[in-house]
Amino acid sequence: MSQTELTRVAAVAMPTRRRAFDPALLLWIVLAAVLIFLVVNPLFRLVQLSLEDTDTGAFTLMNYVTAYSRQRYITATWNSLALGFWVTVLCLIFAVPVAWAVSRTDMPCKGAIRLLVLGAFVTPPYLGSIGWILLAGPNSGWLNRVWMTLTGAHEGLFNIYSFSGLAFNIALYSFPYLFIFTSAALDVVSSEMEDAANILGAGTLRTTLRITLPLVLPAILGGAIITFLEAIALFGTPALIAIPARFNVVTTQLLQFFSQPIRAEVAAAYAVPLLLITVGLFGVQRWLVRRRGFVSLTGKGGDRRQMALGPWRWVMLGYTLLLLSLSVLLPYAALAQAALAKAWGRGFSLDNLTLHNFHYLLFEHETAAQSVINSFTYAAAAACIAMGLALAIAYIVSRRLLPWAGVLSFVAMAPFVVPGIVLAIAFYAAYAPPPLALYGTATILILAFATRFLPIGYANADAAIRSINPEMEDAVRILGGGRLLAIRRVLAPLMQRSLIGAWLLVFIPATRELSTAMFLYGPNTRTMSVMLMDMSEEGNFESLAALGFLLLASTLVIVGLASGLLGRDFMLRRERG
Amino acid sequence: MSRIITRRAAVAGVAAAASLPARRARADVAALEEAARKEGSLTWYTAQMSGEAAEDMGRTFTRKYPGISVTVIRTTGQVAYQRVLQELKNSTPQCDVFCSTDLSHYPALKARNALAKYSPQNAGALAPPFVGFGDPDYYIPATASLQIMVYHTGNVHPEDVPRNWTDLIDPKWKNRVAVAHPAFSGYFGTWVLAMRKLYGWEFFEKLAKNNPRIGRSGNDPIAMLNAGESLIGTGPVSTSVQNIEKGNPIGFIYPTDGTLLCFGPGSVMSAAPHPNAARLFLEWLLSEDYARACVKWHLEPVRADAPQMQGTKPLSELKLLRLTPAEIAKGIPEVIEQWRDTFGS
Repeated sequence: MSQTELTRVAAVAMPTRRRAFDPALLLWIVLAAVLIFLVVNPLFRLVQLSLEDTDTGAFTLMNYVTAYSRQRYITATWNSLALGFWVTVLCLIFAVPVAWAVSRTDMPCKGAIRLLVLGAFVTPPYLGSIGWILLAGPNSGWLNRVWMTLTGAHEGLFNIYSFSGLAFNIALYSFPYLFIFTSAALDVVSSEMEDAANILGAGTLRTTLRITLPLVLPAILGGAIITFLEAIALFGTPALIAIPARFNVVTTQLLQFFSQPIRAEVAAAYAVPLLLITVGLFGVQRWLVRRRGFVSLTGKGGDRRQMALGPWRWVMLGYTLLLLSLSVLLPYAALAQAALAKAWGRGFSLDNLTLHNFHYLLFEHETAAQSVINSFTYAAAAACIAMGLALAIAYIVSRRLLPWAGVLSFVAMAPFVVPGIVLAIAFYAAYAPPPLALYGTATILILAFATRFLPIGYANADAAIRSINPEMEDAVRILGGGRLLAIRRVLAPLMQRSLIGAWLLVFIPATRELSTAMFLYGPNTRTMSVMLMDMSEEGNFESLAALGFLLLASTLVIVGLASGLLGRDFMLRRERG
Repeated sequence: MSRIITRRAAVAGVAAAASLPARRARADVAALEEAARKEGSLTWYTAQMSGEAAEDMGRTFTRKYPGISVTVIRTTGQVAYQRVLQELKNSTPQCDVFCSTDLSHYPALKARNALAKYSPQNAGALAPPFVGFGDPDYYIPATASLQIMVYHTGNVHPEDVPRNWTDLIDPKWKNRVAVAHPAFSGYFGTWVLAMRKLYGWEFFEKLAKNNPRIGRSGNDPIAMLNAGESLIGTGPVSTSVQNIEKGNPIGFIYPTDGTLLCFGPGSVMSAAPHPNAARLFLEWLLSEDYARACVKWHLEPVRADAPQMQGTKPLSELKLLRLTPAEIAKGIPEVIEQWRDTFGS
């Protein structure tokens, strides 16, 4: 902000000295009310439902007894928690080193690596699992066949149909969350503190472990929690891997409560404890970051330099490429064989090649093209709603503009722990019947997506606001400017870039969202994810794989356009000037 | 409009409709068509065929009745039923015509007044196995599906090709068997029931020892075979033949202990948003046009005058396993629970 601008701000602000009532307060209340409507109302319906008798609607605790009285049901909950834990651990191992290498070091090929991470991020997890079924099916997977050929072994090395296979598979498509959170935070840590450590005699490794990573701990923890919650909320991958592997997780178990006889009440009771787990996780996060200052963006300049790794940069590159081969290159190679095949069961051969599958989807299929358009429009609308709301709530919380602002923070994060299916049921109960009668409309999907991914928007908006020292707004206010002026003239310009990045972070998962869409889509509002899942049941892998490529290509084009318009790299990368 | 037609049709009844003068029947369908065209579209929930086939069926209907488009929702029988029940519970009807793979859905829906009373004009032309099937006032046989055994032609030696259902539990196929899931696929649930009737639940305890790949839809095992992951499995004739025609390495046999004949019913929902288009579609499900489309996609047509299918045996030459609607209604929920206890998912 230039000197003249500051003077103008002051000039505008000066005459309004009396600030008995801040009109902005009304705005905060309205926004908090919108949040309550979107999140609390469905969740309240969920809890209410869990306490109702199926037939009479009378108060009962029996649903909880039913939900947790069978060993099979408890095992499924346990499986989900273990799954969330292992996926998070794997994602930390995958994402943090790569994020550090990309953000802070002189590792080569960063552009290509960011593109591949983006590729992993836009890949729907169930599409990735189909790729991995082709790669690591115990009898026929490419990797296993290579292994058997090389070693002469009679059994493959990998079995995707196992708990570890499931955790590994989910981690491969969830790590981008942590990558983005961590690298965005690392990008803004100035080198001054690292320099200080260096001057005091610390080496690269020690500096990284003791200075750099602790500085971005809140971002890592935030990303880890989102990873955990995402892992236990997934439906598609468990349906494709856990059901054949003969175990259940919460989401596949929940689906059973919706088969005949429909026991939505029991499902609600079964899901409620997960909410308590989220509360616990946030408690842990607060405890870990207590009483430490993490403000690193002060508005003052800070030099950010890359660390020279020497020969180790090739080691880092090797690790990164291995990860991205597993996540993107190999599965898409396997899918390409199916997408381009007349009959994928015949394997690769020249006379088996065709583009017919793409032609079929684009020009012959009644709804495939429409489902692609649906996915993108719904995701874009949802991202706008989620980001607007997330930003407002994060601001209210961080500046304590309303009483119980901390509660709003919890409310904004709550949707993520509710498995998509349950959120869909809660939405269905709240908004499908008259008077709103939203079932089968695009609105219900957009609201559901916006609510489901609000936590991503919120975590980002919160991190962005926290990293900005309130001193800068205070300067405006000392000069007599109101909140809204400070937001418009100070905060918005500072946060613009990270917010557009965050918009993409909501948009992309919304384009691949399945578990919510599965229950809320109507005949004319089918999304691509639903389409892919339906195709996976038909044995029609040729079309499915082709649709997967259309999804990948169109998402990359959209994200590329957005990045181009922004004049910056995708995924929160700050330019170093 | 729709009420008049319904009442007239109801009074006419199946037998009467068959004996009515042809001109009268045509006039009724023509009136229906006109009303349907005003509605412009209909939504068809079907689990009875692959999505590819269902999409093609929808287009065939629109070719026959221009101006009436069909929105196809293809999913597994139990998932389609879940959607219908959710719609009923929340009074948000979307489905016009409901074609499940689990017979027991129909008496249950009828008991809830969820099915429209409508007796199609075309109902007189049924082939013998389908006469007297269902409840002619509420649901009709739309399609039949034969459940057979499939195998991978590339990796199964000719002398090892399975012959009957018990081959699925032969330990030599350990880790190499693919099946579906009764909680998703209605036809597969019916098959589980048929096997329990033939061999008792021990059949599935032995199957569990063979560590089968469990999919969801009845079509899933064919995908597992295509991938080379499994070598033998269960499946419907139609998807098997579609895959063979594409050039996939799939072969199938009619088991010597019996081929399971499953009925796929069709009905109009009483709260159908497009009541006339829905009734016209139900008429079409019994028409020659639809029977030809069935033959094209290797689904068993229900009409007596349907052309013979290429590459498959006629029903009359097969040893058939059949279950009554009552057996299915009682048995499927039971076998779903048993399945989960035995297989864990």
